[in-house]
Amino acid sequence: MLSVAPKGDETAEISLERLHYGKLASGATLSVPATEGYGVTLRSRNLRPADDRLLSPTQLMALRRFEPDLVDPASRRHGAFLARVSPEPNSRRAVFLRARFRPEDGEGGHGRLYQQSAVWSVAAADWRRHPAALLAMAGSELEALPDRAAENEGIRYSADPARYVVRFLDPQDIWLVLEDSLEKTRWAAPVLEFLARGAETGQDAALTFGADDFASEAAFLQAVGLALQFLPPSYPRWREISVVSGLRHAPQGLCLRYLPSLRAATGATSVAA
Amino acid sequence: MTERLSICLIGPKKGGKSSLLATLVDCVAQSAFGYSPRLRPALQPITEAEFYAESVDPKKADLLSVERGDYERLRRDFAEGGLATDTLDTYEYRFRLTVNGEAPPAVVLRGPWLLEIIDSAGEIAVPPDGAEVAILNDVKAKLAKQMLDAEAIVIVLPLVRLEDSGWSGNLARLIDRLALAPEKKLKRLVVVFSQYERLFARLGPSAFTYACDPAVALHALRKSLRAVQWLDRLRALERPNGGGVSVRFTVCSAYGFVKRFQNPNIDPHQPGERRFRRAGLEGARAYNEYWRPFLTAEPFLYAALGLDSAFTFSYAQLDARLEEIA
Repeated sequence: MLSVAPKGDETAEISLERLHYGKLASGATLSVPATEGYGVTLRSRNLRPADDRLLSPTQLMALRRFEPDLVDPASRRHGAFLARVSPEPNSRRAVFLRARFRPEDGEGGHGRLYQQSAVWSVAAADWRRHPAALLAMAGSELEALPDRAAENEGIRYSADPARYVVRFLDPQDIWLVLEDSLEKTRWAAPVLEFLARGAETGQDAALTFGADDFASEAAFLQAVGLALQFLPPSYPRWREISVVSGLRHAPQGLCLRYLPSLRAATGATSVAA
Repeated sequence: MTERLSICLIGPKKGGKSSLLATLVDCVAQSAFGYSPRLRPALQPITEAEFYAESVDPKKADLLSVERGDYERLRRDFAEGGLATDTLDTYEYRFRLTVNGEAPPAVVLRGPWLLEIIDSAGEIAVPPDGAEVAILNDVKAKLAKQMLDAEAIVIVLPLVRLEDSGWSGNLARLIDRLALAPEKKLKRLVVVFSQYERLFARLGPSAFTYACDPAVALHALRKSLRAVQWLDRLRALERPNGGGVSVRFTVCSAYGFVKRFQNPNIDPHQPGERRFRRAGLEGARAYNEYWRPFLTAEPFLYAALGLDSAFTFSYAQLDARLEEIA
């Protein structure tokens, strides 16, 4: 178990803007009424309609089209996960995406599939300062659930940003945990080496882990969060790092990825342009 | 000679656009169309590079290549129950069409044909009436340009839900705008009514026999079109000042009718709407023993060739039938 003590009582409040793309749903199983179509169904008030394109799942995943076969079979229920600095030029925000395909006739249904996604957007500086906390929060709380058709439209398009309080972590404690992981786990050395080599060569690459490396997505995000938290402020390719789970596609840059259907880590592979 | 042409698929959401396209190649391969079998059309998915390449001769290596790419994904999504096309982009699929049999020389000499078929979410071109659908402006602009640049448009409408459709007002407005657009390149427009097999759900093994009768299709079309507001708006496209577009009506069924047993191919014992399948097999293979799509090639072959089949009907044919009944 990886655990790092907070650094005293120092805390920071992080504001998370939210955007949902998919279809409105209703009923206990959240089935999609025949009248409902695709659209942005929730946009928190500090985001603008112009952000819809920038925060669309395909834009964030750097894909022409998001398809069901791009989601790892073991991740189909909760969906694929992605964390990165938003890909638009000179972006000052980081994004967390959960995207999946769910049946139109509700959870557990057998009908036609459609895509449902949820995005959190935070200041890139917060992502840089608190990667461990943000990955842990997003991994556990960011869900691709449809909004309800009965919910007031005015509220959905002016939703409050979510606010979280995170504690600063003591760098010494982070190092101690990582040092321990270097001895006892299979992931720590490859991740640190991958990040170091990425900074040295400047080449795009992906490092993929499987179920033998991490028992769950949460364990993967916790481990990667610590490794990123350990990076020095001067790390040159921070903006190019992406953390991916359950997605059979690696964005360009340095991609740390978890595919639960894969057994063991594949080693660093180059990312196709 | 080679003819490149662009075909836009439009229609309300859940109308069957992607299913129509997903079953196109199988329909041609199984000759499950209303054209003469002597026409012997062949259709092959190609890449964007092949579509725009100078030479259109198929490479010899293609003979042994495994089919893959976007179209294969579309077919797989169809086999697995369907996927609602998102509104984040429009999606192009490209094919090489050849006619290897008997056809009028004026048609044959134009081929082979390189087809670009554009699929998009129904919410973009034909949103529900009165709904505020937030579509990305660049996607709307892209589809509008693709429609204006298209040589053919295929409008896909679900036959069984026509009377309570909530999109007819927006479809009528779209047709009006199209008729008034002087810059359009449109030559042919096909209105295809999908889910035709459902009309025959109670006929059991006689279903296919009735469905194969063009007079039955004409009757079903006439009945369905009787109350629609946009029918006369569409006539404007045929007039010289509307562009002199050739308009046709047809029917189709992506699920089709069960091979040998001839009943509509919807298995009542499966959850959701699924075709009959061979137990113990997975994916598309499980369906292939029983699945024969019905006329899903019709709108595309007409759009490309301008050649009528026994199941493509003009206004003149619809009107004649109306007069006959009157």
